[in-house]
Amino acid sequence: MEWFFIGLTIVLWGISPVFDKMALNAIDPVLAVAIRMMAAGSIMFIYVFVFNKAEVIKKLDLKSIILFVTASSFSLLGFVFYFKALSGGFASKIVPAAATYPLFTSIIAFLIMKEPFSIKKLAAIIFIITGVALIK
Amino acid sequence: MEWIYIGLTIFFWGLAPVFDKTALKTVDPAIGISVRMIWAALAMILFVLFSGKTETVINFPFKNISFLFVSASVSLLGYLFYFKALSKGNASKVVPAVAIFPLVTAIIAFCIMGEPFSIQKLSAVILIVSGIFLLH
Repeated sequence: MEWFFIGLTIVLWGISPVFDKMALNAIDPVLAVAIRMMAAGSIMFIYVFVFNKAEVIKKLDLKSIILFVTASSFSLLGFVFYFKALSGGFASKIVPAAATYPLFTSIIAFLIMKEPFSIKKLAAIIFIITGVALIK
Repeated sequence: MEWIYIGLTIFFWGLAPVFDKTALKTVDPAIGISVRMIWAALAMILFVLFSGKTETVINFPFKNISFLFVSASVSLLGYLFYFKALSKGNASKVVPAVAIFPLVTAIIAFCIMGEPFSIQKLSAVILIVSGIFLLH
């Protein structure tokens, strides 16, 4: 079942940059990211109130909130350094290099979360990262 | 200097899904996305206010903002399925698998937007598909 969700994620995240590209013709990319994040936040804010989820969020344990807020902050910090790198170097070098982050996630997942490791999985990750680096 | 920024990007982007995965053991994916996105939106509102870019953002063309809203909505749907996959599967499998979304963008760019196709891109597609096959 998770492959069904992975497939839908890939299609939706694959379509999304087409609209970004259309929006980016005359505006600063950093501000575009800011507006995109504000748009996403507003949509989720409306979702929380329309579907009465505010109570659920209020009842969330502190640990879960800290984990999501940390993940969100790390993603944003990643964006800051990504744009800093992009402003100082060639996109053809930086974009593929930054695309190797799933390898780091996998290493952390093996080491800290004790997820199973295999040579086949490692080969798959290297193939995917090399492919994504070539396509970017 | 840019390699330090690239390293920090990989570190923060690579670590974020580990926090998401840990929190998703007990929290509904839609609630997780709400907390994550509302936090990111608040951070971006502060960024725009403190960087003195409020006027620039207010004066953005409506068409560009509309495209960013569409992109954010499509991306949010992607996040919903990503979190569903992440809550069911291992982070070391889901994160590298969804990382292939640039392939979908490249196919759309090639088929709809008429962007050029090359042997390098074809090699990338073969590597990505082989990687996903191995990961399955």
